[in-house]
Amino acid sequence: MKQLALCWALAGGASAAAAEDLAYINAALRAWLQAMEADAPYLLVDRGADELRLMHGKGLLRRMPLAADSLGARPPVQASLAARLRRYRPSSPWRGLLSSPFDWEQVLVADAAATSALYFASGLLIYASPVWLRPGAMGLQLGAADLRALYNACGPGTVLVVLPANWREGPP
Amino acid sequence: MQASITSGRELFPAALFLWLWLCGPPATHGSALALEHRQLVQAVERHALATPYIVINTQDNLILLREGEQVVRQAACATGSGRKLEGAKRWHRWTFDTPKGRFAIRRKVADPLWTRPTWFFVENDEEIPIFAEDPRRFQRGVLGAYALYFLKDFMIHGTLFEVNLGKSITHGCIRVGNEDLEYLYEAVEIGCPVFIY
Repeated sequence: MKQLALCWALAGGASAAAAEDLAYINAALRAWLQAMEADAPYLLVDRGADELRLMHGKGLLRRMPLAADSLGARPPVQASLAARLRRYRPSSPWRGLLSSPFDWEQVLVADAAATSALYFASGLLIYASPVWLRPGAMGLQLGAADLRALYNACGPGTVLVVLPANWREGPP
Repeated sequence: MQASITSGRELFPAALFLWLWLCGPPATHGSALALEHRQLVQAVERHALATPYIVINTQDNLILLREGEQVVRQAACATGSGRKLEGAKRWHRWTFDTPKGRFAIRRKVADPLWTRPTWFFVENDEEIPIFAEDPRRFQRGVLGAYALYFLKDFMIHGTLFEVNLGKSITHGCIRVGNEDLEYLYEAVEIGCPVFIY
């Protein structure tokens, strides 16, 4: 009897975890649909395909392979771009990254540098240079050319949606 | 015997609770989630663009014709230089950027006639014609064989200098090689979406 109860408990726990996974996937898909409806560029992370996509509505503008993904198991499904950082700023973890209005380079120079990064309100960082690597911090590493294109294409408030690896088929 | 009955009685509420947990509300909740998931995946897949669309990458100066996620054609193009120009008048201020965002092909023109804008005369230090009908305002042949307008003053057109393709060099329009321009002219219809980033 005790063994049966244990089996039930394990099965129940697994089913609860699957339901949580499914709820998370559904939230990500809802966020994607919402981003699709808005007439603005947005970023879509497809963790199953290991790529980041620059989208506008239903149109696919650019596909960018991910060099590294340290988002963890369940990152926030949606985040908006808080700042475009031209230069690397030492910070561990990423806190207080926003630059001062007197940072002439940040204010005046439009194009990306080799160590530029995109900082999202959820704490997620998209970067190309490995100087930004922090253990345990949410980040996506791209190629330098891709980051440069994104830096110029994304303005403050650009939405990023994270799709889990199994978004199409659901949890096993 | 007595001991086993007692333990069975003790276990009964726990087993009942587990049974309810497994077969009761969570199962209903799980199936509702699964149904919502199927509907959301269908909605996402339904959202693919039905028609081909043009994507212009001003960073790498590339123009793509896409169908869904597939690239049908890719070519080098030239886009806005970002240069600024100022004339003698206060309102003679221009920044030669290619507009970014979502547009649509509004007009397809074969053998287009270029109406020289005022900046052309300022840039070349020539007298600005007063009247819009002045013949000095018009020139044929410089835009290539076709023009695809996506805004009133902005278009995808050809060039006499294909060596400059792949550079940020134009006054805001998108220049394409003549062979690729002909392909685009044939392939896209009025209303074809144009995404520029």
